[in-house]
Amino acid sequence: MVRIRAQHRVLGAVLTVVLSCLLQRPCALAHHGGLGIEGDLVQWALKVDQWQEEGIAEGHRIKFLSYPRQPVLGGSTRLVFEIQSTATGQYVTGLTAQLDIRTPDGTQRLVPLPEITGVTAYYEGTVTFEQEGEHTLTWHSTAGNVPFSTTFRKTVSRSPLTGDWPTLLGYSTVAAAFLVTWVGLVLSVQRRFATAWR
Amino acid sequence: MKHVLEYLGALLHLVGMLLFVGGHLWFGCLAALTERRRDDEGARFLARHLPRLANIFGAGILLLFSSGMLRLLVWGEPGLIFLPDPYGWLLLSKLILYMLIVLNGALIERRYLPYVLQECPSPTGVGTTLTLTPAWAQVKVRARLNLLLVLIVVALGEALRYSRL
Repeated sequence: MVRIRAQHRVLGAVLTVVLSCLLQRPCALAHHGGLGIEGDLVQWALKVDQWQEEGIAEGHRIKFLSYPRQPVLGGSTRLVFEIQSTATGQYVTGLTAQLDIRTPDGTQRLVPLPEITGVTAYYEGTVTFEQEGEHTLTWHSTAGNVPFSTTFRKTVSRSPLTGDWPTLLGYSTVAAAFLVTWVGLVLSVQRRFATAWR
Repeated sequence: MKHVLEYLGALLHLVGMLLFVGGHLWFGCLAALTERRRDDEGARFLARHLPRLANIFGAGILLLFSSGMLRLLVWGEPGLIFLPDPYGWLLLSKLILYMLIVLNGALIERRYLPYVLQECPSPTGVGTTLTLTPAWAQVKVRARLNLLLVLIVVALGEALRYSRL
């Protein structure tokens, strides 16, 4: 018994040293089960402004995101675009751009997309969707007298909790994980109390 | 505030992972030490330490889940897990494996852990001795499975770095 206890202490000491070394690493390098992310840690970690889709037209890469990702009926949605030259990789500023929004019933409206001051090649508009279903969003602009356009699609839902299948699957999985954790916790606590009362 | 919560979530996630993975490694060492001495002393040693390990695993799992949820809430994206992007599929896989780990852990704790040790009359006729039962083999196999699953989850976490939204 004494020998086992001594071996146990040695193991404990080794593990403590390892844990101390690991915990002394800067926590800023941690991200979602991964370590050491590149670039701006905070922007990368918050992840709310990552591009969701992109299209290429007339030598331009058009990146697109909507925030929220799942537009909700009657709610305000930011539609953000970034334009980059596919040949040089440089960001394209100074464009006059507009967005053609086609609703599920076929009506169209044009929304101006002004360039955001201080953010290179960002063009943004805020819209309120008034119809449920798939909307077609077509970017229109002209660079060097050459017009270019590309189309993205967004499905507008009645509630942020439902809508398209990814949203539903996401919420269901998180709810299931929560339920499993809760049941596991209750069973675990129950066993401990049952043992204590025995 | 958002940044503080984000970093706190990341730190707690790491601590949870250290407790859970480290706890399993510790359990492996403990099991090896016990098995080297298949006698009453080894069994009593195990009886004293198994509940502590179960607590460490429990705390680790709770930290992993709560810090993961905290970060999902901080990111505040409807749909929460970023589907259908590659990032979302990786997160979905992590969550499914996480649920398997919790279910397996609950099974170990409820079905096998209470029956690992059995008190038998001592061969000398004085008092009783503790012996390991077949439930111990089940505990070891399932704990190894959990360690394997959690290592896959860690690997998926690493893969998240390379997924492009």
